[in-house]
Amino acid sequence: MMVRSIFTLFAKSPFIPLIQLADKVEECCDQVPVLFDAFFDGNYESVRGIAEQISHIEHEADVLKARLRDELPRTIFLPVDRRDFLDVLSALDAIADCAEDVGILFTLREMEPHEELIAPLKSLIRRVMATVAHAAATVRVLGTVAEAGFEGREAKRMLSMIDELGRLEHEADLVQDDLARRLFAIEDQIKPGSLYIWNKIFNKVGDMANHAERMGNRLRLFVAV
Amino acid sequence: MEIALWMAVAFGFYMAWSIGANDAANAMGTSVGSKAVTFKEAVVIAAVFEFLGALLAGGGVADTMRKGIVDPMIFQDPAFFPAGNGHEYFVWGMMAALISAALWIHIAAFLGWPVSTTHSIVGAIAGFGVVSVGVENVEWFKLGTIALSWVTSPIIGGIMAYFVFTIIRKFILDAEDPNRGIRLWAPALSSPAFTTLFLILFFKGLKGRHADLLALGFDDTMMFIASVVLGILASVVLGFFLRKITIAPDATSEVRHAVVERVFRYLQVITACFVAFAHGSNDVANSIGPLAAIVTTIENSKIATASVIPMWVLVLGAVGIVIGLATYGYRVIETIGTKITEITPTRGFAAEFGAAATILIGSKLGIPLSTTHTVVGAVIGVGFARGMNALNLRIIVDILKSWIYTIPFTAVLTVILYSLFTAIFI
Repeated sequence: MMVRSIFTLFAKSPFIPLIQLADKVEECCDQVPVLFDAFFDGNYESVRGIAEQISHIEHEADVLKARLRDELPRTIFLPVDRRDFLDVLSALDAIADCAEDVGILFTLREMEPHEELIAPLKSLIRRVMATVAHAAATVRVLGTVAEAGFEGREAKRMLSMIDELGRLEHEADLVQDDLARRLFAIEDQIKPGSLYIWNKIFNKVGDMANHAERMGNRLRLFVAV
Repeated sequence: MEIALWMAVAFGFYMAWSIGANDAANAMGTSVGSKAVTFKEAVVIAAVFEFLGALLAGGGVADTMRKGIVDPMIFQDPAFFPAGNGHEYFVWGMMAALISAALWIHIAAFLGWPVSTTHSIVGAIAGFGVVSVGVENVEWFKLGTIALSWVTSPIIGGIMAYFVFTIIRKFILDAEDPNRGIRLWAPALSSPAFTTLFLILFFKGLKGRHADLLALGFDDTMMFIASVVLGILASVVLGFFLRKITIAPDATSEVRHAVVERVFRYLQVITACFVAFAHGSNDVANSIGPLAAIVTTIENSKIATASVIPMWVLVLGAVGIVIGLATYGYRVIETIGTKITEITPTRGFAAEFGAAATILIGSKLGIPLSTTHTVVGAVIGVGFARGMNALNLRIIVDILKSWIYTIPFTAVLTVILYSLFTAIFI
């Protein structure tokens, strides 16, 4: 006899898998500074290995994302707008995608380090990583925000974290602009192909922070009244 | 008519068994889901309070079922039954209705449709009315009132649950001073909950004793006042128990929420008991109502305007429900317990309180409503207050479908069985 119950009414909470996805994305991005360190050390074999590793983690994140999407048919009723939720999902995914792209760009051809760029590049990576880590931390707050019904002090706490996220992204932006200027200041010393790829790498690293901020702005809509 | 009596007993019991097997679990779902009670505790609570509800309070709604949709006095009318054997037609008609409803509930259980036992019997009785005394003698207005309650009761349950959860969120989950939230507001908020529960107890639970109470000068107003006073008293007792609960001012939100949920776990056990009680009292009538009608008609060889439901009939219904629970219903509860993991005690309390209060209103007005669908409405109400992480609203489509199938199926099957029985036995 089939179990006849009205409690098929309860669907799985999508917020816990969303937090898991944020963790996975952070894990993926954490490999980016490791990759740069290997590059600065001149160990290109290791760079390729780490790029592959990033790609692997990104794929795991993709699987999590796909599963989460599959569990959100139109008949699912969420305490937040379903479209906002899916936007947060795709912004998180985009962060990991950028991390993967950075790795791939390094494997297109062997890049050579330029002394003038190392210090600001390290600074950019530090700031971008801080932004991504803060984005993941903001998603993790969703557990208690949901428990408090998306209102009140928990919601305010999340909003202030999102404000901080915007500030971190802005700082990363400034460093990224500076880095681009420095790159083109020495353009004569760099091969055109290399110049092109460096520019792309900087953009992709910066985009990790941009998508983190975009995710924050979507998250903001969760608690908007 | 001997055979009719035995058939009525058998099918009345079968229907009570179905209710216990398929439906009783719905009263316990939110409590098991929120881990307020364990699976075993849920089975015990369901068994005890379904039984008590059926036995102590089951009589009230049975009356409406019997007299509301078709006036049984028509069967005494020589204009309809010149041979004066109208009561025999009545007996076989109620029999057909009982069997149709019981069969349908069983079939729906196989198909996994969330049908209401109340709708099944109402549809069956309407079918019986049409085939026996004609379309014009079915109280369509009354039927409409009942059908309307199927829509309004989930909505009322939902609105109540919405407000209960909103208040819990504002004054307890998000309180400026978490200690005052718990020590003061939790008892204060549960005061109307306790009052509602006492109202159910007085107006439904002790319905059979109302005459005795009235003799002691205890009328409806007194019962209302007593419920309010007892509700406040219960809250004071609760406040006494909660007075030592302390949340450090610098505690993290996780810690705060955990303490709140622990308190609501206890409150939810109490509301769970009353939902089981209300379900037992509301739904047992679906099986014993027709049975009682058949039994008293056969005993008197005529249809009585009003008669006391025999005690043994009530016991049969109550025992049937518990046996249904013990033989099959426990598995449904177990499945629910493992499947629902997304409900917390504050949410469960809000939903159960909304549902219990709505069932009280329904029974006070004498309108049979679906406990099952009221619980669904209450849960969705909490969802609208942004209290549920995810709800699968496809269940609403399933419920609407089951409404569309239930009435025609039980009505048509009743017509067929009625024709068969009257051809064979009369």
